[in-house]
Amino acid sequence: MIVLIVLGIILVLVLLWYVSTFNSIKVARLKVSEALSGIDIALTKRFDTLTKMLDVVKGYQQHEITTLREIVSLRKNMSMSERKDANAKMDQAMSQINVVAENYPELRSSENFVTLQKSIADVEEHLQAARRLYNSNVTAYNAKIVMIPNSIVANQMGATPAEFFEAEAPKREDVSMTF
Amino acid sequence: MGIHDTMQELERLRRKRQGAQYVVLAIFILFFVMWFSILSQPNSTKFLFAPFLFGILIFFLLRQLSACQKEFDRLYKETFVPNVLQQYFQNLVYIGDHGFAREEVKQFGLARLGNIFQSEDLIRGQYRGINFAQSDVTIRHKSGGKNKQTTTYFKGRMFVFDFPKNEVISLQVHSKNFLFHAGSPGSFKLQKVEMEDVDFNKRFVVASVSAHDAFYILTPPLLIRIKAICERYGNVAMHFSCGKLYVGINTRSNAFDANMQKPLSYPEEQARIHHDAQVIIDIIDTMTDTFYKEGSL
Repeated sequence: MIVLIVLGIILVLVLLWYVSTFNSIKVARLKVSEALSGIDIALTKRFDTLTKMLDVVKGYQQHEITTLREIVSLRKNMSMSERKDANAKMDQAMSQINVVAENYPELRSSENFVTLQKSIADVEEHLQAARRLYNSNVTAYNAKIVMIPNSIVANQMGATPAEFFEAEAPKREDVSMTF
Repeated sequence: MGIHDTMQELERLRRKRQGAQYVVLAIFILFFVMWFSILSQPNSTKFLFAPFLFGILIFFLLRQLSACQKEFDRLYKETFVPNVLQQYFQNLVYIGDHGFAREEVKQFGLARLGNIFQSEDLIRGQYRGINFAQSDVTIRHKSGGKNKQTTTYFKGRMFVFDFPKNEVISLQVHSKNFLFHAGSPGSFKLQKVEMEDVDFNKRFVVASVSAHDAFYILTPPLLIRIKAICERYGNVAMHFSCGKLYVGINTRSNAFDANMQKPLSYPEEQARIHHDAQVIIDIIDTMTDTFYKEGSL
C-alpha cells in the first residue's frame, strides 16, 4: 500500500516536472519568435529609410544607383538566410550611398540627406538591439533544450535549436563612415 | 571679508560648535552621575525637578549647536563651492541649503522613498553642452510600533542629465548591492531583462518596459561604462526615462561638506570640493561618450 502511494507521488512529481519543462520550452520558443518579429520590423524600417535615401541620391547620380526594391525582397516568414541576405544587400546599398555622398558635397549638406542620415543611424541602432535581443533569446532557448533532463522533453516536442542572426563577415570589421 | 578673515571665522565657528558638543556631553554625564547619586539618598523626591532644569539647559545648548552648524555650513559653502564649480561648469546655479524636492526624487525612480527626506547642495549647470542637475539626498524610513527603527534607504548623490533618446519610457539598471531601489514607476510594469554580458548580469539588475528598449540603450560599450562607474563608486542605480538619465550613487556621505573634526586648511578644503565636483564630470564623461555626439544638444 505504502509502495503504491510512494509510486503515485513520484508519478505526480514526474508529471509536474514534465508539464513545467514543456511550458518553459514553449515560452522560450515564443520569446525567440517575438524577438524575430522585432528583427523583421527593424529590417522593414531600414528598407524604407534606405529607399528614401536612394531617392535623394538618385537626383545626383541616377544611372549608378540600383533601386532597392530590385535587389531586396522583404516578405513574411522569410528564412534566417533570406533575412541575412536582405540585410547584406541593404549594407551594399548603404555603401553605394556613401560613395555618391563622398563625391557630391552639396548632397552631404542637403537638409533632407542629413535628416535621413540621422534616421538611418537610429534605425541601425534599433536593428542592432533587435539582433542582440534575438540572439540572447536564442542562446537561452538552445541551452534549455540541449541540457539534460530538459532534452528528454525537447526531443519529444520535436524542438530543434534556433539559428542565430549573425552579422555578416564584412560588418564585423570596423567600418569607417566618413563624409 | 577676505579669505584669511573667512578662514578665521570658519575656524572660530568650528571650535564653537565642537566646544558646545563637549559641553552637552559633559552635562549629560554630570546629569546621570548626579541623578543616580540623588536617587540613592533618602528624601530624593524633592529633587525631581532636576531633570527638567537639565533638559532646558541641554535644549538651549543644542539650539546653539544647530545655529552654529548652520552658520558654518553657509559660510563654508559660500566660500569654497561656487568658485570651484565655476571652473568646470557653465550656466551654473548653486543653492547650498536646498536640493531636489521629494516629489522630484519620486519621479527619478532610483530609490525607495521613506518618511524622512533631506536634500541639499543643488547644482544646475552645463558641461560639454550637456545640461545636468545634482543634489545630495538622504532618504530614511522610521518604522512605528513597538520595535522602532530607522533604516537609511539612500544617502548620497543624485544626478539628472539630458538624454537624447526620447522614446524609451522606463529602463532601470541598479547594482545588486543597491538594496532599496525604486520599484516600477507609476503605472508601468517593468520586466526583468538579462543582457548577453554574463558578468554584467551577475552584478546588475536590469528592468524595462520592453526588452528591446534595454538592448537599444544598453549597448556593449555602455555596459562596460556602467561597470566602470560601479567599480569607482560602489552602489549605483540608473533610470533612463523620456529624454532624461537619472543616476544615484549611494555614497553614505554628503558631498561639499567640511570635516569638522580637525582644523580647516584652505588648500585641503579646495581639493575636497574639486574632488566632489569631479564626480559630476566623471559621470558625464563616462556615460555620455557612447551616445552624445558633438552638437547634438
